Amino acid sequence: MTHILIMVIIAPLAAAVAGSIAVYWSERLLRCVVAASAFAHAVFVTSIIVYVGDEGSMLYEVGAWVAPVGIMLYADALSVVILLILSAAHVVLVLHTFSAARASRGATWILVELLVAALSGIVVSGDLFNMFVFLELATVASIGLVAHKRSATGAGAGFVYLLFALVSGLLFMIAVVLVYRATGVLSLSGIAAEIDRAPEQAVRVVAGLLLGSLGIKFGLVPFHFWQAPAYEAAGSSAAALMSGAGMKVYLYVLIRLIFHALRVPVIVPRIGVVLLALGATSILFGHLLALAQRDLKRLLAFSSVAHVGYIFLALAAVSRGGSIGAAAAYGAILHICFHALMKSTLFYSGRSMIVRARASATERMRGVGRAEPLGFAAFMLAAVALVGIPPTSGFYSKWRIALDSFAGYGAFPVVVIAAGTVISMLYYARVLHLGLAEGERPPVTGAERTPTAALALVALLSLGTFSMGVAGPAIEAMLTGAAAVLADPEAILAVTTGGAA
Amino acid sequence: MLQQAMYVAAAIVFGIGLYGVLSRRDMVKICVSLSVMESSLIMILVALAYRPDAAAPIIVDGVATYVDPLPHALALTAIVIGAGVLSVALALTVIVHRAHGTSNIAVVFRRGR
Repeated sequence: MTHILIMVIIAPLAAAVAGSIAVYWSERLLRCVVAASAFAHAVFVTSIIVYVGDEGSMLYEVGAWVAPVGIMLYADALSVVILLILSAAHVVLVLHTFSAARASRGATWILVELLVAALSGIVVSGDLFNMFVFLELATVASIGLVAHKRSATGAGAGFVYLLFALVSGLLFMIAVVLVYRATGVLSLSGIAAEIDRAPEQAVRVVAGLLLGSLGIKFGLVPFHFWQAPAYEAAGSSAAALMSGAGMKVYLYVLIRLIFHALRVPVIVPRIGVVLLALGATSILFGHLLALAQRDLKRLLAFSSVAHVGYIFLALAAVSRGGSIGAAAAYGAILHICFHALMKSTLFYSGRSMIVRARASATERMRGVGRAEPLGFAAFMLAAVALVGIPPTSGFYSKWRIALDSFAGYGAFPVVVIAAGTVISMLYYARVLHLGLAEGERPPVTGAERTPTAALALVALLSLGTFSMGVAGPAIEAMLTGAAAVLADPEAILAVTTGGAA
Repeated sequence: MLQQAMYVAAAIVFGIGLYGVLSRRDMVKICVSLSVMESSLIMILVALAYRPDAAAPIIVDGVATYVDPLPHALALTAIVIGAGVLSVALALTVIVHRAHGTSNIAVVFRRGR
């Protein structure tokens, strides 16, 4: 039964290999492979969810080699939520591209499957070194997705992304080496057991290196420079996968390592203030930079930067521990899920507007709301949710974060959240204004129209962002489980002594 | 002692690579500097595995101490990943050079606007 845990890596990886052969046969065969992979991945993730729901956690020793020598895969309530986001993003990407794109996608599919395999690998990895390998694999696949349009700007953006990713990989590797030197083990549970004996200085340095390395990955200010050109150059669907699911996986790595393996909040309590400062800076800078953008995809990229900040505020409160921490963990999980949904919706509905306007510059969006009403309405609905206007899902999670960070750190984070909300309202209002303005409407030749099926999918997603705030209780059990794991600093420690042996 | 010397050497090599990445604008030179930076990491890994008077990590009768094999495995993996990522970087450099006739990264972005 626990073999399923490795299947979430093997299925998309096999699809990437099979796809690179199938692409020489026909586009249709390639699509079959991709569809099968998305379906299989979803089935495996669902059965992991069911298993973890019953047993609490899932442990798989690859090749039956036991702990110190063997490789361990591990999933618990927290990883399951991230896997669910990843699988949902995968399925939506496949459905949307099948219904929307007419042109042959070829190699892009192989990169998408590779990225999904790598991201799944990161989530189920039970040790630091496999995490590193999968992180690098995800990097290579992402670079391909950024640069695949073969334009010179795409290649330039890919190169800048690669520079940042390489530095990020180096920092992560140095962190791995330091952890190995301090503890003598690399498995996450082993580190959690040994870390008390490590010098406090080492823990501090490793935490700093990890914040730097993963900060680059999810575009935390001041490491955000690569993100806007990369998302601008990448296709909207690829950007939706990278921002919707990829970013969440990197956040998961940070949570797993900082909160569970290294138990930094217990050893260095000041980490909370660091997280708070980073979060607040990201919110303010991200929103201000988004306000300054003249390109729809760049605007969405900077809005992602800001939303990492919100999750950081929640994590800062989690590091306080106790009842504040437990409550804040729920807010963090909620915002991770809701942001994945809202940002994917924005990228997909934004795509229909970009296709209609034949450009992604916001100036060219004049009148697009009249020409493409359904896509535009979906975009605005998701934007309203992201800004956080009640009763949308975004309001619910932001409200939770504001309450919890108020309990942990007083009025400062609440002021930041309020300021961020006002700024984000401004830039989405500008898109709304331009979209509804009277504009000269170029004759539609057919290529500018997004097929109805794709629009229906986008509308469905958009309704999801709206009603999640109301339907929250339905998914609450799963999210509460994840939050309980997140808030428990000994989450991984318990696993080793229990089952691994 | 030898180990400390290795760490210092690795730090110097890392500094050289970092200086190259930050000061050069030519994409090929940036790639070279990056691989210099990566070599410093592999030096650290090799130094980390070192034990005085230890044998290579292959079990032989009559040998008591072995060097730590795990950092060696890490070093091998890091070399492989580094080579793969470097080749992608060089491929991107080729695409940029074909389109712009230069591999200066700053020029690429000025024209890209």
